[in-house]
Amino acid sequence: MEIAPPPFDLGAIAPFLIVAVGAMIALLADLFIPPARRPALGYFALGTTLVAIGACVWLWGGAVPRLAFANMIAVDRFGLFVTIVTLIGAALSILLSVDFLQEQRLGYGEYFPLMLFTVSGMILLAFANDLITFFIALEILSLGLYILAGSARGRAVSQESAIKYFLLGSFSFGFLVYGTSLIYGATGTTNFTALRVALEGSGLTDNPLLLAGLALVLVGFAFKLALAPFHMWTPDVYSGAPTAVTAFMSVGTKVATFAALLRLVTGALPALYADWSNALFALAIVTMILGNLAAITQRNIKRMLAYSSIGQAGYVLVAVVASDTTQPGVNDAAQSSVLFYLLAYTFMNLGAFAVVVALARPDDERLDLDRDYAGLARRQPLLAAAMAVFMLSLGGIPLTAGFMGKLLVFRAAIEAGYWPLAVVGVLTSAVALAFYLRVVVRMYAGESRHAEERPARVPVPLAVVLAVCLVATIQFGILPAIPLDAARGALTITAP
Amino acid sequence: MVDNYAIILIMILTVLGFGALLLSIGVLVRPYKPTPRKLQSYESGVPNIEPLKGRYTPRFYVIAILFVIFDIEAIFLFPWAVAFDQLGLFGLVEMVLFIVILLIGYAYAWRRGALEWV
Amino acid sequence: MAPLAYYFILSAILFTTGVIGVLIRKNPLIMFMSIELMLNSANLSFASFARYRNGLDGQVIAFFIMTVAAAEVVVGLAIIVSIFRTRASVDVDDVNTLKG
Repeated sequence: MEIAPPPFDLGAIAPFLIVAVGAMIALLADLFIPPARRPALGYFALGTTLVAIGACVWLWGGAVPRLAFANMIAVDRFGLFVTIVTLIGAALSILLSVDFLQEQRLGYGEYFPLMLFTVSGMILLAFANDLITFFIALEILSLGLYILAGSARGRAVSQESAIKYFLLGSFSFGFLVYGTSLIYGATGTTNFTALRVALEGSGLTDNPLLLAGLALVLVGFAFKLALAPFHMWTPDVYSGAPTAVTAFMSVGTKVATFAALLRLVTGALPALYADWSNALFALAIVTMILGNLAAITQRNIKRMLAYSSIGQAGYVLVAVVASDTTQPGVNDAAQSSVLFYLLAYTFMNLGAFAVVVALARPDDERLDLDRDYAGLARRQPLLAAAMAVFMLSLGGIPLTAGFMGKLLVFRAAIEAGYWPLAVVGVLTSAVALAFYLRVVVRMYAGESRHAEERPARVPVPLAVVLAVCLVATIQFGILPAIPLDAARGALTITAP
Repeated sequence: MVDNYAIILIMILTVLGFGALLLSIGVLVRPYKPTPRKLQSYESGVPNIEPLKGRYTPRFYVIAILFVIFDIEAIFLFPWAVAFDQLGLFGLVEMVLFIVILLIGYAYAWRRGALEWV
Repeated sequence: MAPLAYYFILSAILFTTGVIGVLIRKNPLIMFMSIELMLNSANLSFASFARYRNGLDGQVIAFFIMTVAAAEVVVGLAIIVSIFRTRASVDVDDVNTLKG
């Protein structure tokens, strides 16, 4: 008897394959090239991500949406959009790292291969249409990040960041896996498409096993996305990891994991809308309030950005809550605002971290808001101006990408009838302005402590990152049509 | 039938009860005056000079790490071997790909010197 | 054959033990073992549900969880060993350069 193999649709996972094979080539190449030539690997990794972006564009125009590998992979424009955002984030982070690693004497080690492996996990996460594919993708991405967080081997803070991230990450993984097993027990399947079919019009929606499974899976997601009250690890991990790694993980992980969350709840569990939307509603409110309030008291820029990223995740979550598939108009507005916000967040957050990277000196990372950022505008007017734009955008000031993102998110929430979320969102945005504007005020009004020293030289790759982020942040704020149209075109979560 | 089990149960209870009785008599009767010296673990009369736990060279950890990862990957070979007849060429190609990926990891560990002993 | 509920209750007990272990213990190695307990309770649950439903999916998933858990062990051990090399203690309370 022959067992028929499942159709072997390699074209469907081309972006993933390109990055994964690129990672393996980089890993082997790493063994044979002399340490002085290691930066070349960075440019190889950059090339790999660019080729993968090309593959995504090719698939975008091709025969999507389709399911592949026994329905475990869904290749649709939603996944492709998220993948492109992730790859852009990865490409910018790689550019950010090339000179940073050298200057901080961190050594390259397996940095770029690991980064590529992590990116391959993120891509798989965006396409996962089965809880198994989903948690394997999540592990590929997390394992790489645990090591990257600890990649500054001699530094105690980096090691501490790695062990904390590792323990909390695996802990949340335990919740996800056990929750999955309960969902499997209740429905007999882990496939998103099959789950949706099984739950439609069945009496299963009140099944305690299923609901307990959903709750555990959501707890796992909340840990991974750093939603309050499961966010305690974030500030320590973000501030301990090397800045370039922090930039990468604050962006890529969030984007890919939010995509997976959205695909799971709207693609597989629309029948449980009442249950998960209530849970996420509560999480969104707590996250927005706690993240933004805690950020106010921070003096370390990396810790402040960590809390800020918690707050930002709360805003994205608002739009996830509004994704009610029974009202197509509302759902489209909500999902496209999730995608737009993630795109805007990628550029503004990476930009802010790029400025932090640019200011770092080999002996001192220059992270103190009062000491190192005061009077920055007089010494380095360009960097200060860029930082001001990113801060204003994160704070949601009009004419920036962040403002458009918040506008779309809150409008989607109001359309779906969740006005309390919109109210809390607007109020916490106002609170958030306090700490975002404080950075701007320090830079332009403060007295510089480092006035006598020569301004930091900004290497070319870093300048490219800053320029791209700056242009995108302003462009998406003034003319959001292009990304927004793309996001609206990306709304078909596959379910043929 | 049930009676036989009852006998075993009575015996277990008796044994447990008797043991507990002896131990509690001991606790009540014996003097208990702990001193730091008395609480030390006994090592032929001289004070302990190093932690009792032995120290291992980190090489053991590296070997253990490599062993765990390559050992567990072999788990996928078993179902494949069982269904080999039915899987045909496709199964063979798939498994070769899988092993090639493992070999890349192996080559990496080798080149990096993780397999060098001493 | 024992009813499904027994297996399920056992897996729930194991999972809870693991969660409590992670929350109250301080030694990363012990916390780590508790996490493994959580993953293995999921394995038991998958395997017993698969048996109950006469499907193979759950058993295959258990395989995948085992390999993923092994990969986690490896990375975790490597991180712990690297910490141990730079300082003599692996107590989480001693790893507190960053204020929580």
